[in-house]
Amino acid sequence: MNSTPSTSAQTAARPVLRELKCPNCGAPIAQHVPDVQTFVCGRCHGYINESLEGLTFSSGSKLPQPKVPIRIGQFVTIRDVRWFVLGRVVYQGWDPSETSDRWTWNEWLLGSDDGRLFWLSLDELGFTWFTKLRVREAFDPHRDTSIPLGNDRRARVVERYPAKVIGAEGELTWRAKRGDKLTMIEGADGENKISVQVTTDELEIHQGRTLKKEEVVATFGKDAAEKLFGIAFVVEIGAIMVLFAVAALVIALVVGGMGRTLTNQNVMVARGQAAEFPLEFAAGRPVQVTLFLQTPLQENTFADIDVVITAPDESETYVSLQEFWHETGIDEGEFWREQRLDGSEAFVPYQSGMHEVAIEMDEGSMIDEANVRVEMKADSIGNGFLFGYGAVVGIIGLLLVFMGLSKKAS
Amino acid sequence: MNKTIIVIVLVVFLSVGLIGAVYAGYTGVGMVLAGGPSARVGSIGGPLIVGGGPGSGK
Repeated sequence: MNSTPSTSAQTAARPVLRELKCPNCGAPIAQHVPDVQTFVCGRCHGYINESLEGLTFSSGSKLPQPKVPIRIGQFVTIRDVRWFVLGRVVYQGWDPSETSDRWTWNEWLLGSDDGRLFWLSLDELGFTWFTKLRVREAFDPHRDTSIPLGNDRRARVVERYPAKVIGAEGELTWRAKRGDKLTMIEGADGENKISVQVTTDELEIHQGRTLKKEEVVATFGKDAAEKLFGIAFVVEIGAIMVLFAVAALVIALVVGGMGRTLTNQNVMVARGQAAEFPLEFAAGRPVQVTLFLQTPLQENTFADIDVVITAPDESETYVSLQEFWHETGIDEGEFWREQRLDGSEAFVPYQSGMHEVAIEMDEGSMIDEANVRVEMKADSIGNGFLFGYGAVVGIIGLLLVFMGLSKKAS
Repeated sequence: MNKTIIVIVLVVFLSVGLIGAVYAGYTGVGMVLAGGPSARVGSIGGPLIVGGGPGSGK
């Protein structure tokens, strides 16, 4: 592999087979390979198609420069072979189910000194080096779920979408003009990518392999590769954030049930009559209190139960208010039922020593008495911050990944 | 800026955040302090209301 960038212009070295004049502006147009069917005028950017009736002209417009230094008429060296850049086509594809989701990609037609032609495609995943496959079997591009490759090999279809030609430049070996519609089918055959382009007149199958980053650096230079892979860098950042978010959520789930059980007992509470019991707490670490309502609630009733802690210095603190309810109803003709019969909250004892725990039922509750199981765990770890961290970091990370993947390279 | 530095800074930032979230949960940051300085003593009258006057609702 050539270790130095090799895209410097060497436009004079390629022999010209024929010279034409643009029928629109009269600018000279050079033909470098046989079988050219489309020329794009370098001055007026019009499309000149070669047909049996002669040259036909349709208007066009100048294409934006690509992000990588590949220009028509230059040589690039890829895998130790020198290629002449003959033409470029810019495509736009879209999601047929959501037409606002659109992306563009570039394809360059490259010719070697020995007459071989290849397509170099640049999309959001980088460069892919495509060679043409012969169509050997019948293939329905709109329905078949696999693409015939010959020798009983088939590639699985992974994506099928409509596309159109945004524009072209240079010379092309097929009839193309701005606005031409086509169907793209992408397939996978191990490490190879399979691309099928279908127009009303033609069906072409190409097999390709993605260029490694080192190959892109060696071919187009470090700056171009950095610019190109910078698109994927956003995805890397997003992926790291998603990884941390997942770690936080896993830790939150693991630590959620941790702690040393202080009590796990049933108490009877009634309106105006609290259940009380003493319990020793150590200051400084969270205590998780979980209430389980054991008495069944009638339909469409509720009960509010408080936990009040009286510290050794007689100060009282409401540490938990749990609402238990049992609701039913009919929504769009469907009967539904929802219940909440347990709830949890955490507090931090400020003082060490024997405390008094009171379980009280609010006056407004719709039941007179209830059997409640009270579970308290000392030295627990609150997971609220971890869930919050995971949600915020995860959403930002997913947005970055989505942005990076949807921003197609062009 | 060098991408490696960006990644390192990001990982350090995220790690500090994650450790901070674990530490906050471990020590109970933001949780109710039972028997702390703001806890009420005696009746359920709540915190003392200072000020007011005729018609103030006290």
